[in-house]
Amino acid sequence: MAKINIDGEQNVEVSVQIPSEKTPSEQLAIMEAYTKAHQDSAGLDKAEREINCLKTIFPVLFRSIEEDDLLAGRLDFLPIGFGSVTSIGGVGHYCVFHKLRKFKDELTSEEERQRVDALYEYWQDHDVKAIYCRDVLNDTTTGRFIDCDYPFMATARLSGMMLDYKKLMKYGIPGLIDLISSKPQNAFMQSSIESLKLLKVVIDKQVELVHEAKQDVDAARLADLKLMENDLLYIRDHTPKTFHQALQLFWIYAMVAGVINYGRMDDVLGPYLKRDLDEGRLSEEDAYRYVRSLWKMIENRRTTVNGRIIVGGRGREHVEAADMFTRLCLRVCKDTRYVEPQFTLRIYEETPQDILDMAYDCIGSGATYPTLYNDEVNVPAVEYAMRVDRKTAEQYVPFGCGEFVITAKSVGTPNTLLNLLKIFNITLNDGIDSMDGKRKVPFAVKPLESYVRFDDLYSEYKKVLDYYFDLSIEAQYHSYDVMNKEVSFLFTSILMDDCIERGKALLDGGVLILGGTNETYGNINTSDALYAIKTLVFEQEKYTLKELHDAALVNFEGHAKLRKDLLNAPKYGNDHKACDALANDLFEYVANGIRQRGIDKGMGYYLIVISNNQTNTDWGHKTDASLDGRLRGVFMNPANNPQGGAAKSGPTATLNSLATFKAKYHGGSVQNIKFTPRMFNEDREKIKILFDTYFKKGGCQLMVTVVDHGILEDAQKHPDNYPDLIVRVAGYSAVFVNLTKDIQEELLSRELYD
Amino acid sequence: MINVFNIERFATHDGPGIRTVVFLKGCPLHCPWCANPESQDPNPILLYDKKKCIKCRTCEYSCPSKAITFVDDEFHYDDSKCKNLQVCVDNCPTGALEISGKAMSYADVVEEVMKDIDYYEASDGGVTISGGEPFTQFKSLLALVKEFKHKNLHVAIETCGNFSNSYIEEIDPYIDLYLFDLKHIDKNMYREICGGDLSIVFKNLETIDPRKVILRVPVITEFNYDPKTLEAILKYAQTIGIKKVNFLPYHLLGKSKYERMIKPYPWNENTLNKEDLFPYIDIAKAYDIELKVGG
Repeated sequence: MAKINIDGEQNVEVSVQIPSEKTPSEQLAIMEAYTKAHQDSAGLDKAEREINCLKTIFPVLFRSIEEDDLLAGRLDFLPIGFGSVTSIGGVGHYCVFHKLRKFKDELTSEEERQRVDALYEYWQDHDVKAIYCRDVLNDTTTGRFIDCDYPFMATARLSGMMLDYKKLMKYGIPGLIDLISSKPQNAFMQSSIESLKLLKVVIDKQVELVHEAKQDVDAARLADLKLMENDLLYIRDHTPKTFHQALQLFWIYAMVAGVINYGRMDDVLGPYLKRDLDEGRLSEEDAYRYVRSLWKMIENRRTTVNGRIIVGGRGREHVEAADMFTRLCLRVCKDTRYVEPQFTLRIYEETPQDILDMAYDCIGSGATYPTLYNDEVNVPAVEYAMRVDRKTAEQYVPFGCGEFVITAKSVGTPNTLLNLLKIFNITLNDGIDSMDGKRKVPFAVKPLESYVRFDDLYSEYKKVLDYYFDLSIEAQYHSYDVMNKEVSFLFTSILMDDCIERGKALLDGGVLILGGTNETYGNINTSDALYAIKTLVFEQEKYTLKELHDAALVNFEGHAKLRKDLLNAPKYGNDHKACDALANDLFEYVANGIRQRGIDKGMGYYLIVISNNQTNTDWGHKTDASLDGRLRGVFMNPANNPQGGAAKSGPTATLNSLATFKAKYHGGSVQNIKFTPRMFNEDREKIKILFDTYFKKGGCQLMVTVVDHGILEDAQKHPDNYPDLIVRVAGYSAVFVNLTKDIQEELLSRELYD
Repeated sequence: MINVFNIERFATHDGPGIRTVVFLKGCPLHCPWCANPESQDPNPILLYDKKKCIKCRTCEYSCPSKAITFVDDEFHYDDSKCKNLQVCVDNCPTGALEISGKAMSYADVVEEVMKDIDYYEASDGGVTISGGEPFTQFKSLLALVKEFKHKNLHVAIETCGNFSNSYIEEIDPYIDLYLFDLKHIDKNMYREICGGDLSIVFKNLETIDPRKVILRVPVITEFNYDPKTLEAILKYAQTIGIKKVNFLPYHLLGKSKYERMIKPYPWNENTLNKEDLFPYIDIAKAYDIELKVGG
């Protein structure tokens, strides 16, 4: 068994999470109970084991109602427990080892500390992700997510599940129990029924918590709490009838399912909202308060890179009602200025003008939301990329940092990540990573002197890429095998097609489309480096490739002029046709290489995503100087954007470059753009035309930060003055002053248009 | 070929819609507040960025004509000695030296401008030719605007009006809009500070169809920022049938460029805010003029 490192950061965490309400001793007892259930159920079916474990954390981990909550359902998670994603807790039966160690440090009694040690010991062999890591990780090519020494990282997680909440609303809890009971029974089906019964217990617990919250409150608050209580009791045994009931049912289900991206809530909740408003049961202001409360509940989960609520776009059943919900969300989003939910607007030809105007106002206020997705490009792109029909493609949704899945129909978790730039540097360096001297390609790579033409080098790089693509598909696929061996993801499976019909858990053949994604990084640094080599070495013959590479190996020290020539070579982001064409060629090679491997493996899809959290910066720290002129350790380009400082030709040029890549080859690509409030607000009509034209030219997505000159710089010096200065990092927004200095610097390097 | 010192895309204040501005070298005037002083010389010139200079003196050592020296650790450049600007610029390791201005083919300029055609079409925008003073390169200018018109672009030209009246007849069919500078109403003041002949400006203004003109007035403290002068300009505009006037409040965008030309900034630094000029909007109405503050 290879010795692997399972202890370390496992996800990007900027937002500070709210500590558990339970005392450390209570937490320890819960984790022990969970562990015992896991041990005791070792001989049972995985579904039965899962429900037995869930019963030890639900409902006990639910925390009390806060004074302005209008929905019930606040959930703690501990270093040991059950989950789907690394952002809250972990994956399957999980232990987050570094958090468990930290927990241990908080304990004062030696006896309790020893009990933690026993847990640590047990979970080393049973944590689902650790089991996966043991199979897949090695000392050279493949590292844990996040361990940036490697050119390739792999993980096991079930990110971005977008459940069928319409089905939940249609059947309600009792209806779902009946539905599952009516099908042929097996351990999975029976455990699913048990899960739904457990959900009822969870609801009973919420009723208790509401009761507790009734102490010493005024009449208005009492009325709210009474509504909460009545609606909880109602949805326990009925399908929801009102907007508030629907919201409550959705929310409590999302809690137990451990999902952190929510999907097209406009089409789910809109009809309830509209009916209540039309029939005079609900005032617009109360509806606003409920949505605002939802916003706060989502913010309080602090998942940093998730919390997607998606509105608008093609393929909605209840357009008018959904748009009503959208308008409410836009108001709430502008007023709250939270970093989550990641509020996402899908735009298409029929998006009402007032919604677009509200969206621009919201962005112009500096909220960074909504992020804009262009259905006219994305729907046909998804149709091709995922090999699905138009109707299915219309149900695409971005999750996390921007990966697409199909609502209720596909798994698309990004369990593999490639650093294209590190791989390129390794190719230039005989297959050895100059950062640690380790060989990371198991075959001989041609020496630099042997390349007569540019294409010789490019082909050799592609050969090395192919090797990493092969590793990627195996690692992605194996993550499903391991997760499936250990867990059923019961609550998720119940609301995913076609698990109940097939009587199979999600990863056991239940889900309709088994997809996956691969996050690629350093795309643009690599293509810029390739272009600089092409022109300086092979066209102008100003330098030999070895001269350039040797200079990079010493971080360009003593080679300032050479580096200046590299930096002055044309760069992606400036609408330079030849340079953009090479970037596109590399993009298509990588995108098609990954996609084809998914098809060959029999998956529904396996696509690259050019999304980003902050891994471009983290991985940049461990990536040597590169021939685009970038220095050792410096951040790499964010998502699909140019390297900071490289785009010097204005926003139309950058957007033209961005629109080069055909969306049909990827599974989500995100692009940032930054304007001053002056330009965004005073030149609003021109900005609208700018975006509109970009979208017509094939632009798939846009995320906008509106911030003034000097503000970010000042916030670095005086963080206390900027508690709500929100910036779009890439696939997530953050309060600027909460970011680490290196991430702040990367943001500052990006062009600000004025 | 045409001498260009900058092409700026997504310009939003130099004519209608989204535009690209082509900045041409050469100007007969020398307005001290000039936002683009590097444009006044018709030839390429050297710009020096003190912030980027690490005083390695590579430029001095590599200059074949000894045009660069460092005196008391300060960069000095004698353009009368320089025979080839490119040498020091190429050798500078930090990019502190840069050349402003290059001869471009019409085709290259047009290609660059056409990259944003979709944005012009969507916004009723187009191309604006600015400078410097575009008319100083009249033959090339004429050829270029013909190329633009051939592409069906909306063409605006930004001019100070100091050019031969005979040019208008030739170029006018290819120009949709003149962003015409009128800096003063007093001939002596204009000659003394800007170095031009206002009677030529008046004559040219009166030759062009006023419907194709937006009169632009850079409002500069200690020059024309007084009610009498500004009102006289509005009145003059009315007499010749101009309906649209822009007052552009004095800014210091040119200052850093003077620094990079290693020249002292030759005017005061008492800039104006938009608000300072808002009262003129109502005044202009009395002259049947739509006044906009800012471009």
